[in-house]
Amino acid sequence: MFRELASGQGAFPKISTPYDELFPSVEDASSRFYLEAIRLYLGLCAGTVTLDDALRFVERLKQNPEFAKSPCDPTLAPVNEHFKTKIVENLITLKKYNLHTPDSIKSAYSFAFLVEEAPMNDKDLMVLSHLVKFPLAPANKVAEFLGIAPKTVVKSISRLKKDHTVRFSCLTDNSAFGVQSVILFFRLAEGTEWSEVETQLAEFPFTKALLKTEMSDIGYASFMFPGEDREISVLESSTRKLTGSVFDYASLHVQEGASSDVNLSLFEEGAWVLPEILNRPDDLESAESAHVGLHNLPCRGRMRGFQRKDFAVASQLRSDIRAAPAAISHSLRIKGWDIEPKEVAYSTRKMIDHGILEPDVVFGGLGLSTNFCFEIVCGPLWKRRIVSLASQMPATMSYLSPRGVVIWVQVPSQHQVEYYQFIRSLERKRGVESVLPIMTLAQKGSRAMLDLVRHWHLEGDFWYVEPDELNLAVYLQ
Amino acid sequence: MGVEHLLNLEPTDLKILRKLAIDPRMRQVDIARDLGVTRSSVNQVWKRLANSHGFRVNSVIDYGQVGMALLFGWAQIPSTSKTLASFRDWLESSVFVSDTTYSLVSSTTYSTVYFEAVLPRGERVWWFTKQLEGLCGAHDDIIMVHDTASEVSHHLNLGLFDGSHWDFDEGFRFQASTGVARGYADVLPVTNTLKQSESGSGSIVDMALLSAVQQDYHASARQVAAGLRRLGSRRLSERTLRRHLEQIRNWWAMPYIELDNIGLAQRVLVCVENNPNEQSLSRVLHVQAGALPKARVVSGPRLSVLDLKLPISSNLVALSSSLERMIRHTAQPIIFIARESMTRKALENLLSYQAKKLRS
Repeated sequence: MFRELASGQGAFPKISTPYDELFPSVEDASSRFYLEAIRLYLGLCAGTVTLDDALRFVERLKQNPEFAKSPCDPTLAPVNEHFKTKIVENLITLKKYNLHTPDSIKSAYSFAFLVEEAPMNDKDLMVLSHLVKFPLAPANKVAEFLGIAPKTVVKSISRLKKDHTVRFSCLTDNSAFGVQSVILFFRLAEGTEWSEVETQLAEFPFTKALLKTEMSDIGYASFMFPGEDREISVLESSTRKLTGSVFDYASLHVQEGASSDVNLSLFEEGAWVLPEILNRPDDLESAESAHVGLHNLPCRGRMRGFQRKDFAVASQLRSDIRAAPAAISHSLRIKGWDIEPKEVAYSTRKMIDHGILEPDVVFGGLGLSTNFCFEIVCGPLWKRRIVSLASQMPATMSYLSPRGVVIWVQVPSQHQVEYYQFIRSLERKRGVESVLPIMTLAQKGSRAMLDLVRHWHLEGDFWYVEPDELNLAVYLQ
Repeated sequence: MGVEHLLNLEPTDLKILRKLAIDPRMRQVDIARDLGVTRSSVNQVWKRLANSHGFRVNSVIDYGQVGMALLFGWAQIPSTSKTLASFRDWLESSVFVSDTTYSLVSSTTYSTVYFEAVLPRGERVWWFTKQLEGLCGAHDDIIMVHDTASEVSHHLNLGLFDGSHWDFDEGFRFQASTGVARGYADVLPVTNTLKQSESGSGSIVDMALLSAVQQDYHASARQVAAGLRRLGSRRLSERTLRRHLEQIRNWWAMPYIELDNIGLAQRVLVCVENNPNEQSLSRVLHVQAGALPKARVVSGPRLSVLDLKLPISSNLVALSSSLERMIRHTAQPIIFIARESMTRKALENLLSYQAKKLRS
């Protein structure tokens, strides 16, 4: 079903879909990027492209600079009727209004994949409740625990993935590989155009994710690179240089840990209830009531015995940690990594045993339609309290650094004011310096860890980058 | 959040309400004739809706006709600043302030306080703006802007409501249609909008009549006469009052229907500073507001505000993204979930104040 087509970046395979007549003809690379992503998704829905070919196709999409701004990977989206209908409707709207701009085509893609509510049956909820605590539990163990048939569990998992965008992922301690994860929270200086800064940040080879919503001038960029203090200090000092010109506020968080929590005990009889802590905020300051997060992973620094291949496996496992080793091996082969299934299984076990991987579950739906991200600059005591608070909220992901916590929160829309005001009010606590909020559509995707590797240099058994390459000011001035 | 609930509407209710939403001037007898039913059945529904849903026909009024101006604006104040509370208190206690609210959720470190005030034109406006500037101007980290309204519109789109559920697209379709509307702003038909005059100078009687029509478009001469007596104003015959009311309804007021308990529990404000080189933005806002469940737009030469009531489940970020794409290149909008108004006064309050002042 492939035919070769000339494109701006060499021959690019074009996928046939039943909706070809709806695709506008465009020239610029950005518009083409989103249209090709749409085409790929519709091709997967129609069966005109195999998953293997789709994965290869995505590798080509990643070469488009637009990918760093908006990492669209249609192979990660569940193939279902709802998303397909939305995307076809959006193509019809593009055609109806004769819209060809990159902005409108990007919106046609991104708005189609907003998770909409699909009712979750009791069995699926039971299975999900168990899996959020034990993401790797085999189906027969889940079945045994819940007193239902293993076949029911398998079907539930499939429905959860397809209809409720449940993804079995993992937190990774990249410091074990000598790789640093850093988040730059910023507020643009007056007169600075985000579109320009976004393009420049996307060109920075170590950018993993970008987020700035239309509602505010606050945003963040996350970076990943091999290195130690020397490399981090170059990035830090270049960020300082940009403060006052590009940014009027810049705050760099070097990851020292992460945690991820889902609190389904707040989901009672089909509706979310508010946690007690919101009525008794002072409890947050009492050590006795401290909660422990569901999945926590401290960064413990470089560990012997972990190689590039392990890093590649870890990167791939983030897409689906429950996938069979053979499937992971196959996906890695498409990306140019030759790692046998046996090696994948061994590497996975080794990383879990050494606390480098912490399996978790990520999902949309179930009424958690409001997404916030907060940068909380605070001392160590408040970091512990915030991790404790996170575990009492519906769904959270926290990123810990010496400066404080960056926390992503998913809450039901009917409680968005209560959660927002509660977290913002922490700013008034002694020991909390500031709380900066961003409202987002959803936790935006990021470049896969392996996509960044192509910008790193190889020396002996591992990667490195020259410290000067981390001078962000070269890109942003 | 607010106290808005959802009490389902029956198909018969919706039939009548949709007629009225299109033409709020219709009287019960007109609706009955249009729908081919008896007037008493329309009256029954009308009364039931008034009880259950606070149904009423209000009016946007032309304050300018009675020598008044509608001043509106907002201040962005750091959430931790002490000025925030004192500014809000001052607004809430001012007799001239007809509406004030503030941000509950936003993507900034500032709290935004929005206000509308109705004032006698001239010195009073000057005094009021000086007070505002005095409260905010001493602080470098507070931004305060204000403008005089030149157009006000009201929209309730019952076509999006089936009696129990709102079905509207705040995402891609809204964004696409708004983008297109922007291109044809000059020729778009503007409905439900009333211009504010700049040169009227009405009497206290005119103000009283206008105030009555603001709260009830169909206010009778008898009701108005009672109101005038309370103000201690001179007696006018009912016939004269009827004639005056007719004139006001025709020229100084634009009716709209108000309904509570229809599941629009989320108030969202979009505050925009217009680009002086581009006048089409406020026009697009007045037009596109009609595509949303419930909206009020106030615009002046420099500022516009889109005051929305939405279902709690609506996606604010998707809507913001659409609005931002419409507004971008013209201005940076401030979008936030607002608290239900603590102060929402009609012209009547100001009228009592003016009457007292005249008596003293």
